[in-house]
Amino acid sequence: MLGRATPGKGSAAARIGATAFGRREYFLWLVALLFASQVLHLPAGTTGTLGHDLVSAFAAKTMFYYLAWLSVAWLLFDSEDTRPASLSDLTVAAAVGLANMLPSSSLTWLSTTGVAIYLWATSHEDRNQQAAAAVLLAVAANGFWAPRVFDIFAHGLLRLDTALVGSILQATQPGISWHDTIMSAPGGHSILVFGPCSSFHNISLGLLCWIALTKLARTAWVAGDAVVAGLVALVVIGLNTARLYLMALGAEDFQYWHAGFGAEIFAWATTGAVLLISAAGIQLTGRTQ
Amino acid sequence: MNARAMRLILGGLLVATVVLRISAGPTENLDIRAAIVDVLTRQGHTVRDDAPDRVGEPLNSLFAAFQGCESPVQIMPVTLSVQEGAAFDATVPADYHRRFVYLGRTWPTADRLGIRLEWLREKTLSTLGLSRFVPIPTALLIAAPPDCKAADRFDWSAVWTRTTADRLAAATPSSLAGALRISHHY
Repeated sequence: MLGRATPGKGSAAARIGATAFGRREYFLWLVALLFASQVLHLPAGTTGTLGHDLVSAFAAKTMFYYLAWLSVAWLLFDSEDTRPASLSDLTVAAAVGLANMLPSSSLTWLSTTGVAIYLWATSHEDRNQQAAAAVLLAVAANGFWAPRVFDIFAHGLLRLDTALVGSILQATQPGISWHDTIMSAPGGHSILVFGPCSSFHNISLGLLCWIALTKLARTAWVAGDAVVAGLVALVVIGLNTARLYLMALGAEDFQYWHAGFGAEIFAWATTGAVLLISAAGIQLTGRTQ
Repeated sequence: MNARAMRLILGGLLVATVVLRISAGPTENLDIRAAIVDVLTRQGHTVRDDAPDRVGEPLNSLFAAFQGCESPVQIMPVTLSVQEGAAFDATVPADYHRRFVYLGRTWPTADRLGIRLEWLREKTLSTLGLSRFVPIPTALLIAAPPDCKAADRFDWSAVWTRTTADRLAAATPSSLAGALRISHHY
């Protein structure tokens, strides 16, 4: 969209405004570039045929990821920022463009983080842009920062997971023991708690869903948001703890909840619970701007 | 700046990004097991894979014969944070000498911070095109029988080099199966 002239200004200013490039459109272009760059990083193991590779690339992302990008685009489209793009905006665009032409996926995520911070820092008057920045930051947190932070503290977090589930198991099931990140049931069945099984692994994805939905409904932050976010995290941890508990009971239970239909039940239950809490949170904390 | 010119520039950047991403193919990657087999067999060692159907699962080792070693050397791909650590006692013989190898460095114990810093350093260099390694997030636990000096002398860093990755990429047909993964991430 063209940079809109401020009403009441002189004809020269109006003319400049009419041909200037507005920040609203500028950010829409920028997020389109970031989205394309992220999604088209083809996952390893693709076949080499473009159609299949693209389907694989799109399918490798979760629905919450697409929901978040939709939220970003919607919020930016709804923005009322009439200011023309500045020289610093153009510098950021050039840097982002260059970074995303390099093969490293880390640079795509780093530039997403950079754009989110830049959007937030330069849009204090526009609540839609502020909200879009928050969702964009959540996208980067879920896709890049959270897995790295988790990885750094993985050993400690996995031990915490095991201690939590192991203690519940010991209190409720006879003959079960645990140490470090291993839980053992009678009959020789032992499980090792590994990164992807961790209760803490999916918190950022749950929070991404919550923030995308909440910011679509209401751009302003309210005190109740922290409670809803905490509840989302607790439910993700709770459901995964229940899954680990069931997997530790025996070999058949492990197969069912780890790779069988139980894994699907768990995935959909967690998805449903996060959506439900986010929607209920919006209702309870209000939809107003 | 003129709106039409800006649209042309940003549209050009978007198209260039899409074209570069698609033409670049899959993100830089390295099949660690194939790389281990490749590097070892090129130097005359025989490699045994006891569970080829469990590729990608934790604690799944390869075994290589080294001259002068009474039994095979165990090579286990591990995560950079060595999440598998608690299970080593159950999967590696007690009298074996263990060490951890990642890119150009070796540690006698699971130095999680050291391994992570090595990854960070080489990842940064790799992004700038200055690293000889493909810094995938997989290290190796090398467990050798007592008095097996040959495994200590072996240059394990060759597993992660670009030369190895390029050789494997050239040898691997692009039609390797890649099942469609609809992921919930839960």
